[in-house]
Amino acid sequence: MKTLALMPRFLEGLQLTLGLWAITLLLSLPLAFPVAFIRSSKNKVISGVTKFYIDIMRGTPLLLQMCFIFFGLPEVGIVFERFTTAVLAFVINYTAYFAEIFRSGLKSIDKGQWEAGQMLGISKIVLFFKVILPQTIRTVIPAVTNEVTTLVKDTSLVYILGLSDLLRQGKIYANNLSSLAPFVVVGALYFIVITVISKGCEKIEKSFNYF
Amino acid sequence: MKKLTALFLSAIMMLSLTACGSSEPAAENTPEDKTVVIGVDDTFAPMGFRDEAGELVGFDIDLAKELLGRLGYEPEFQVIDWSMKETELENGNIDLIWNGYTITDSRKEKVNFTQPYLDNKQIIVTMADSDIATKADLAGKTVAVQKESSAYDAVMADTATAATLNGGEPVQFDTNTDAFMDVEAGRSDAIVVDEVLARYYIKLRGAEQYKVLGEDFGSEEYGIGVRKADTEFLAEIDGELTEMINDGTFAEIKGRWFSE
Amino acid sequence: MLKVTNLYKSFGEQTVLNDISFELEKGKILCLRGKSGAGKTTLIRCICNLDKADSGTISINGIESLENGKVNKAYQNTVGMVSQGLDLFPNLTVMDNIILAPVSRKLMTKSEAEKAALALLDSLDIKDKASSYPKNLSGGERQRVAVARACILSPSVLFFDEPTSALDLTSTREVANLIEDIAKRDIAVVIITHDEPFCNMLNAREILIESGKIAKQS
Repeated sequence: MKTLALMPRFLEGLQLTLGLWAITLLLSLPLAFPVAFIRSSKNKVISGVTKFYIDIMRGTPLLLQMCFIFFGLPEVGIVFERFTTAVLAFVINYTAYFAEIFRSGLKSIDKGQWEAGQMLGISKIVLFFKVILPQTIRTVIPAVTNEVTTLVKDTSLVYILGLSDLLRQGKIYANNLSSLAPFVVVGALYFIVITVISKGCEKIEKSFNYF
Repeated sequence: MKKLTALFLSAIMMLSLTACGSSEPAAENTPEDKTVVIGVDDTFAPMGFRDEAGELVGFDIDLAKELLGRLGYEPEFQVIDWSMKETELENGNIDLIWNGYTITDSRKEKVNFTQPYLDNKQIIVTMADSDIATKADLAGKTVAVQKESSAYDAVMADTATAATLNGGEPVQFDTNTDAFMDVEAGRSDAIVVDEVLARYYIKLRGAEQYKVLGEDFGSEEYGIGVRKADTEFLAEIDGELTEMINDGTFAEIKGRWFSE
Repeated sequence: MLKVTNLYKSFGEQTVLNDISFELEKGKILCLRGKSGAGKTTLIRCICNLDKADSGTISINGIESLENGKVNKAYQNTVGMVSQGLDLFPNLTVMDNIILAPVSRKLMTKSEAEKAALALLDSLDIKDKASSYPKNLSGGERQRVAVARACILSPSVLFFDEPTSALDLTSTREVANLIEDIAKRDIAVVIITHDEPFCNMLNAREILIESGKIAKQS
């Protein structure tokens, strides 16, 4: 009962968790498309630099990247606020993952479609938004869904910045009450949120089944 | 859809709030700046933790408010991850480490400490009906500690006792809460734990359930960590701390958080 | 009308097109025959500006395919293609497949384009499929949609890449009739095929390509 009375505290944590989740998606999903294009560029230097960025992001822990931004960059005079650091770290990290997903999605679209568009004189931009993008989105939805739900859980890494997300709130009150009940509540909240998000993604996936 | 929009809006609001709010980093030269940022771990009851309303409370919190207030500073508490405390101090994100901060030789190389203001023993706690009465009785028993804690170090430093334990060393748990629960469940026979923490838990869960042994695994001292460069500031705090101990304020605040 | 002069193209060491020249008048049909790898696909890809020839010129009604080394838009408007894979846009309905080009290029208003598309679909006997998606069409129906999509832009020359691959004899005859109908609209038709019986069904000129050279023509 005592634990349930703490619900407002947990919801505060959840607000931070979902806030970071939403901002990360809002910024990294649109950013990932240009990155995917640049990564596929024929210019070796440009695609090489992009590949390096993606490899670093995927090849090192997100926690380390966050520490680097928050604790490392001030050494060279670049200082970010705690939440800004979290957003920055999550966006550049998730953009890399999404970019790779989109790149493989774009690659899976038959080159013939681009050529058909060229033969019909359709501009590349129109073709991309009307034809290529909807198909790419459908192809990548399962992989993106995976990342989107992982992101909810990854947000708990912000503890290193002293930010109180849902999991940290659970830890605070587990210590405070000397009980594991807060963790049960926190676990249930994560489960509900992720279930709702997964259902949403499933709906979106189904909405693309018409073609 | 409406809900989704609301969610996005609140997310963006949170971002812009943190973006424009409190953009002044903690100052390097605190005497000129009236705000002092104190790094705390808000999971360490009763030194600094959150109450049911989410407010930061505790012995160290009260102490810091009183002491800094007397010096004319505005205390601001910043939650940090405890493992990064010295880095946060070095970077200037915080000005003081003040949250049950144990004085050790290796830490002395990185920060300056004030005088010690609280003793913290590594005490041995069992259930009230246990037949363990002395350290010697721990032979062959299972002893629980928090992972990578000073309790673990203290037990292992007492090599004669450690060798007699079941398994040759204490069993390590993620949190002290887990360690306590293992004792309650009867899987472990005793827990070795920070006294300040243990007294708080015992009070919370009912003192009659437990027994604190007369013997302990040595003691350590808490001090306030100050940046190496801030020597004037260190002297200022140290002086005021002495003042508070002399005029009885320290004892009064201590009485609020510790029984006996 | 379509005029190809001294076309050369090589990939690395391998010469794929070796001095190809031919002409084709409007309303005529040309079958480009040859084994796979003979260079016929590269030839029409060059004519359609999907690949670039090393040297030689291509023109339709006197308009050259390239202008200062870049694709000439005025030329590009005169060629249409029904590729082997058809390459319909799977996420668009039949109607949207057909009108995307004329509407997005502002050649027609949406209602004009829809009217023109319906007329084309009617002439191709698939008017009732206008709101279907490509995945719900038969192979033959899909081919007609690709034809309609190319024809709505009124090309001067229409290219078919292997239009009868994997078709039975009845369907092959239908495709032959379809192509004859297209030619009657004063469109020059170029067909890549290795299907000799199909060529014989058509009232067509034939060019046989072997190792990048014109080996025989009628």
